[in-house]
Amino acid sequence: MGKLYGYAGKILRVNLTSQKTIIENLNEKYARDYIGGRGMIARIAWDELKPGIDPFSSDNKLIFMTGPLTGILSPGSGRTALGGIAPQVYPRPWFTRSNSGGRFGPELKYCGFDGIIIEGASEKPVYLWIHDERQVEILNAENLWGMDTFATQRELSKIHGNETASIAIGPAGERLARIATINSGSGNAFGQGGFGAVMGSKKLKAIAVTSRRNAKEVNETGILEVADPKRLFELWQKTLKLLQGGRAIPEEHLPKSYDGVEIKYPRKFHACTHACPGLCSRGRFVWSSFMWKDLPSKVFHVNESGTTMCIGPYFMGFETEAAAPAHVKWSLDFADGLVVKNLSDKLGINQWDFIGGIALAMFLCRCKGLKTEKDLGIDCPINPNDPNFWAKMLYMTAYRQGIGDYIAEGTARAAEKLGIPDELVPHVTCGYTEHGAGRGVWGFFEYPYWIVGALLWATDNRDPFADTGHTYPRIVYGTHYVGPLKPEQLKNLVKKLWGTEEAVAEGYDGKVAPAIWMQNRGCLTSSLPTDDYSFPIVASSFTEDGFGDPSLEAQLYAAVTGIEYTAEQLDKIGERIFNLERAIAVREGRTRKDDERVIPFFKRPNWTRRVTLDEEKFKKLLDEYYKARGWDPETGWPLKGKLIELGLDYVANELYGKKP
Amino acid sequence: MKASSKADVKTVPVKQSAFLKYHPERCTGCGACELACALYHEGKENLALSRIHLIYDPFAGDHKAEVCVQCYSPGCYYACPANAVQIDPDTGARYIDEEKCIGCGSCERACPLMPEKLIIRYKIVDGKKKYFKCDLCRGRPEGPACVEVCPASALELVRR
Repeated sequence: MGKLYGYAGKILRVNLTSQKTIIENLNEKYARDYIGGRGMIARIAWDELKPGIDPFSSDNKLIFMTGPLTGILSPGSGRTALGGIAPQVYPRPWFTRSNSGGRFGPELKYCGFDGIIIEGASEKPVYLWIHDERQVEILNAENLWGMDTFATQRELSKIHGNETASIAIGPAGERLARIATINSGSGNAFGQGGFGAVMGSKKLKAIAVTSRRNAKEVNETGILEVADPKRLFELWQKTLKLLQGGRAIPEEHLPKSYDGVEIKYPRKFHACTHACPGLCSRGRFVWSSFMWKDLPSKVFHVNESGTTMCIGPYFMGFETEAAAPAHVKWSLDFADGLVVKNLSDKLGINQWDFIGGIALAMFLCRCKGLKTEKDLGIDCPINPNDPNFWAKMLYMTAYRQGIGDYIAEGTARAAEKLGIPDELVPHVTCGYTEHGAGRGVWGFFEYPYWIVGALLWATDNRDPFADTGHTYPRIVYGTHYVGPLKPEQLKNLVKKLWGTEEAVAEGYDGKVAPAIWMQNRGCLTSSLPTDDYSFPIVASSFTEDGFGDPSLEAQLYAAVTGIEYTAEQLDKIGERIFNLERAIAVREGRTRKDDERVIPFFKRPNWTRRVTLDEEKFKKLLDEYYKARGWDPETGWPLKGKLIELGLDYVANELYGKKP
Repeated sequence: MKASSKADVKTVPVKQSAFLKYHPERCTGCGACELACALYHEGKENLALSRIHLIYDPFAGDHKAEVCVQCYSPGCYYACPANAVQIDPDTGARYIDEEKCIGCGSCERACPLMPEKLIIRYKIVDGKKKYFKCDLCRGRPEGPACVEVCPASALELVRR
């Protein structure tokens, strides 16, 4: 086997119980078979996270993992994956994953580590400092405990130098909120899963990484070798060309107004992922992926700066172009909204669960007159147009005061305690709230598109739309880099990708292929990693035929690591990772019954055309899905033959017993 | 070396240089410039190998880039006792010839922007210090790598 380029070559293992750190060699076979990131995490979890581990016990582990492309001039490669037993999962926590952009992953690699495995639990608050040539220290964090995530990061930069990149938990994580995040910078977070609470249960306040980027002397550690630098440059240019026709001039693309109102505050495009190749919000979203400077908030009397991306800006206002029920529309002054958004990041609260879950549920509940403020125990009007309402709820949640004690347990559990009727709670399944399901913050997602969403939701072990499902909506609605496709173009594209035009047509036919393809690609996206908001690049406004280049991932992987795979061969690795994750779930007791738990949610009428899920047809679709996956339609287990075909013999042996 | 012979070299008028202009209002902070710089010059990746430095402050709402301004009167050029700091005949870039560099650090100490900004730093090659700085990607037909990869046109090569 040839040399493996791109990796830093070591994994850091930290045991907080014994306060010892071990530096392990990167398992080269794992690296080849599972690439990195999400794939490596699944492989390690299979060995180390046996079923029945409580998320808050010292047996749970936090596995942070970068990929071979991280820290290298590969588009959108600066992402870090995280895995462990997730407390947010409902009703019983299981193994799942999260993912974050920012600078943490690249800097970790420049310090010589591909990943960190955190084990055990400390008695006193500590933080981890990784610096220079694989130097690792577990330091006292008693002074940091209680601080918000921004203050913690600033303090760590003050102690260890400006170049320090850190991730930290806030008060929500310290109080074991099941919706606690691990934050980095002013907008990035390992958001979903409640891993902030796992860090809190381990009394680990933060991880700070100080590479030698600001040192005068350059040394050998953490210098990442690249198999073919020249090709990588060409691929970068190719990506730029496909996404935005080459270098863009930002001021030509800044949206000037929102809903007829001029945006008066200074802002600029912001890359939420290290090595992000484009202007994400170009022409489509008004506020995502921006950096704002000194916005004067009249309500909070501060000048606020920070970054907004993904769901965070929904604090500023929420309105989908489709039929969002009038009572869940709101809009705040952007300056006040930014303060609220920053507050949720400072406290370390999962915005998907908070805005897209319990907040929506409360607004619906109040408007229908089912519950008053008094019933819910809130001493101010439930008014989404009032920034103080948001701030109050966030503080109550993070510090577990009053009703906040329930909200901190996540939307699914909170709604149960508060007695909000199920049909008003945007909880899809397993503790995650609506995303790509046509009935909440993604209310614009029409029938039949959310059928693919339902399949993804049924078969994944978390909200699939943060790292898997973006491609499909991008195709059907157009994206920041390609406007809405013409009907003919759309048909050609889906036919080329999934072999059937029915993938985007009315009805339940042809929906399995896009789901499986996206799941396998999603595994690659967070293993290589690439940014799932741009990749796979399936369509482009800047090519003659309107097609993108879905084999770009394989080309990037080859240019960095020196391993030449075709897109199909790489997809096979994606399939292997997805099946391994499924096997972990199966070992934890997951069956087809758990998959079908999505059905009640999708049987609610969707927000645009009031269409409900046809249970019969959907169950048939599931049959079809399991068959295409090589899984048993009765149980939802991957079949032995499939596991062996994917090189998962050790999994087959454990699941099916040692006998042939 | 006699003082006179040294003076012969250094009194030659120094060609004015092109320079990199940075537009902070366009910069997205993606770091592609740093990655491209290290990758082009060293064929490897680590931000410590980059000649351009991005200062991130997500809390202040700003990015800054630090890169050699290619001074009109380059202190590094005049200070170098080994004639390792040279002037590129095409762009005018003040660059360090790695072969000639004796690792004394005179250039770094003479730089008017250091030590506040990391303009000149060194690596160890075969046990010897070798200084490096921005050379505007001397000899690269497409021009500076950082300019070429920037998705937001935040860097621009201004010729003089």
